[in-house]
Amino acid sequence: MKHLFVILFSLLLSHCVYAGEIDWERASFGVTANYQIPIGDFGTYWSNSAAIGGLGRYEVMDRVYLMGTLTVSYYTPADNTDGKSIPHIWLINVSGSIHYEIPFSSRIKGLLGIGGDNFTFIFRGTPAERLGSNYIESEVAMHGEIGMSFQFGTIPRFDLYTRYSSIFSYPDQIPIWLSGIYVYLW
Amino acid sequence: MFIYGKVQLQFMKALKYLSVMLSIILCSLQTVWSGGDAVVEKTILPSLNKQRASNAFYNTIHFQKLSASRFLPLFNVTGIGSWASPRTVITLDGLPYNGYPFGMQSIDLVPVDLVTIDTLVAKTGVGVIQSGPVSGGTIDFVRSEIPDSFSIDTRLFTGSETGDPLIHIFSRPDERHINKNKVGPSFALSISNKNNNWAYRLSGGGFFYFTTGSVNDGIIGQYNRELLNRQNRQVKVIGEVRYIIDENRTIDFFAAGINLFGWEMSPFTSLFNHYTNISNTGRIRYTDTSSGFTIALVRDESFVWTKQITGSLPTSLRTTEWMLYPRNDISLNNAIDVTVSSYAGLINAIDRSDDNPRRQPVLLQNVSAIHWGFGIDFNYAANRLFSSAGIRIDSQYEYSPELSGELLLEYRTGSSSKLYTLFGTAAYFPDYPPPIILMNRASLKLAVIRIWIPNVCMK
Repeated sequence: MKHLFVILFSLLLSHCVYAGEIDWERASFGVTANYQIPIGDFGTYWSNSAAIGGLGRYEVMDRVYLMGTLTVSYYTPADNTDGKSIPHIWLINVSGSIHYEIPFSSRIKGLLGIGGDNFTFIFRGTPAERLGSNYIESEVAMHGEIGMSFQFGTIPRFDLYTRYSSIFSYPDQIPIWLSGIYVYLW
Repeated sequence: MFIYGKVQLQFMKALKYLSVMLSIILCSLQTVWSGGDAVVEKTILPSLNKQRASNAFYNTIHFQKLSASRFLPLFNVTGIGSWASPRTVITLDGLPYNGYPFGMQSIDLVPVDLVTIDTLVAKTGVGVIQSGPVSGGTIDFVRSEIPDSFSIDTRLFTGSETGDPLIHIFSRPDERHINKNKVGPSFALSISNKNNNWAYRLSGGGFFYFTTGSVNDGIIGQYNRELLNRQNRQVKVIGEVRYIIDENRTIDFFAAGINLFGWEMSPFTSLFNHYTNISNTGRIRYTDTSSGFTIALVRDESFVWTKQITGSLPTSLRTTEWMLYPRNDISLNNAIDVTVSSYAGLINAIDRSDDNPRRQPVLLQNVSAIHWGFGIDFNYAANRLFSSAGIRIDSQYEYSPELSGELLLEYRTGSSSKLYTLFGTAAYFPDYPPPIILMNRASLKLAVIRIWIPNVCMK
């Protein structure tokens, strides 16, 4: 895993940039919602949550898309916290990924995606007071994603997906399963 | 004859070895003096992707970083300063800025922002400048010209270290979780315009940060857990006005302030303290380029107080400095220039703890001292040869007048190489006169140090 960190930071520090004129015909925007199942300590001491947000997508070449999402979710302590003082959490996820489409038919396509995330944890409630004004923390994550895309008649295109994200925190990483829907409105 | 020849041979050998050793020693001196880099002068162009002035120095020049926290580096470009007294003189458009809390000299505490800075010029050698002798190099902030038309410049930045504890602070409370290093949403903004003979620029910036992430977090946390978790700040406000009398004469008004709120180790106590500091500077400069005459009036002030933490009472200190800097650059002919410069002013350091028995004294007695100095420099420039000679006399605090001087010979052997020698002496006056009483009741004697810097090097 240390090697993965090195590779990740190398990519971040190398400032990979793609620049080009935006063809708005290739861009689409919409909304997204997902159900989040955290694993490890996050799943033990906090309940599962749902997130809503927006998305933007851009077709860079045939079958290849860049996608960005922003979602917000709210986590409450689990029913049994073993007596630990657990705060509420507002979780803001900003995600960027590259998607590849696999056409099964004219209406149904498969999706494969990989990308990076920024997860911002905002701790609230009495247990968070001991953090003082240092109660907001952001961390980097990476994710892999698979899904199915559907296009029926006049119904806006929508994708069903499931995503596995791993947040690079210390001392352990925080994995989260996210399953949800992308709806392309514009 | 044979014996004479043998003696002559041995003498020549000894002379050869002596010259080689002398060259090594002289070049070694230069190497030590400039922190392993033979740079005497380095101009740094700050780019907007830098957060603060100190960031512009990283990977640019060698320097000695003395800060105990990650966010308030005290600089020594020569590499031989001490914690108690960084010797690098920081100037703003060539004139010193001295509004630092407890003399804690940092380029990040100069009340200007990179958004209005044209260049940073670092000189690592000994020398004499208008404000007196310099034994530890200089860093000069050169402000950019105010644009001719309406202009807005801004930058925003924030940052968070990855790989820090998140939910584990709560899910595993028995483990040690203190590393949550981050830079909060920070900004800089500048608005400028020019209207007939008036040009103005209003600018400001805020840098917000948490001290955490340092190996010293545990120590700070023991002093005051609540303040450890407070967001620290450095907020600056700057106003500049230029009145153009005619094509040769201008009057510049400059006023700026900075508010510091955060942890740092105080330079002469080696103890962590939580500072609240308000510093300001006001500067008026008249410039006549046709006659080479300039005169500037400078007022710098710092008002600092530290909070009561475990094992230490609060302190408070106010320093004020009024200085007048007249200068005349005279061109005798195309090759020879003469500069006559001087300064005179009043330094005050007032221990504001005196009137409060619950405060810890900082100074044994309040300070009120007149500073003055006078210097003259001769510069000669030919095709490939440049030479400069300067001498000055300075009187600061209760010390008797001190003589300082420099002699520079530079010969350009090619477009990118030069052979130079610099010979200088500079008295070092401390920021505050002895005796200074420390918070732990020990005392520290500071004295004038005279430093000789000979060097010969090929660059």
